[in-house]
Amino acid sequence: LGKNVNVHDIVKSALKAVAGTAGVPVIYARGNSTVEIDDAMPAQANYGVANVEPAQIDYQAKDFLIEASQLVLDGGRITPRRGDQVRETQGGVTYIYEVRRPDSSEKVWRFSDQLRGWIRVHTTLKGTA
Amino acid sequence: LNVLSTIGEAVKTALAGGTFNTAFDSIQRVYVPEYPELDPDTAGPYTQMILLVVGLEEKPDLFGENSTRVDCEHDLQIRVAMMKRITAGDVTSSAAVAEMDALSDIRQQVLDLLKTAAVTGATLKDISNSPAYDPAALDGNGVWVSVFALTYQTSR
Repeated sequence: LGKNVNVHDIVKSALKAVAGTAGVPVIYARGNSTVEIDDAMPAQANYGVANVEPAQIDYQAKDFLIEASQLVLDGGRITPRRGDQVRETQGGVTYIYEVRRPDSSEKVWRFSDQLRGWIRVHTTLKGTA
Repeated sequence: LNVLSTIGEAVKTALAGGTFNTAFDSIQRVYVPEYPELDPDTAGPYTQMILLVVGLEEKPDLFGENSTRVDCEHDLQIRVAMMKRITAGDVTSSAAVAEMDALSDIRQQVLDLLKTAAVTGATLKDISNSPAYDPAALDGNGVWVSVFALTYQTSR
């Protein structure tokens, strides 16, 4: 790498390029406030069963990677909060994901890179519309 | 019908005859107490408040003081799961606390009914409500889960 090359800039543009290819448009909502995110990256997804012996609860968990600078509601930058929604439309069906922490091992969101440019938000499927 | 299923059925019948602040959408005896993620009819969230009764365990006391060569006492464990998806998205909000207080009121009513439920041919030996609710299921899945464990004693 040359002396004037900023590694952080390279990482940032690489993530942006991945989002441009793998990202999907979603709507991020908190109450009645919404923002359109052009290229949220669907990340880890799994079908799970939570056990409260002997009861079982089915769930679908999905993480989204969202560029932190795009999370703007009512004119201000926000970070995810329990109960927020990520709405993703596929094939004419809108899947509503609610911000939660399905495995209880970490909080509902975290930065996914050292530059704090991208946020990984944990969600579970709430329903469709 | 086997004794474990018979007692489970009697518990279910007692619960079905109970009066609660809010009526349960469904009270069933099952072998797999499962709460679905989506309503199969609408594909929206499954929100029903349900009670599921499970006959889970039977333990003969072969060497008990009342045991003979042909008869002995049997402890039979029935578990009841109360489940409901809550509407509040943020379980830490004050709105959620009010909603869960209302569910905990019903939980107490279920417990009080189970304490006095008549089950022919069996004696209630022990009862517990643990967990009264499960914080991880509430936070991770938005589902209230309360589990009641009842131990009945019979002889045969």
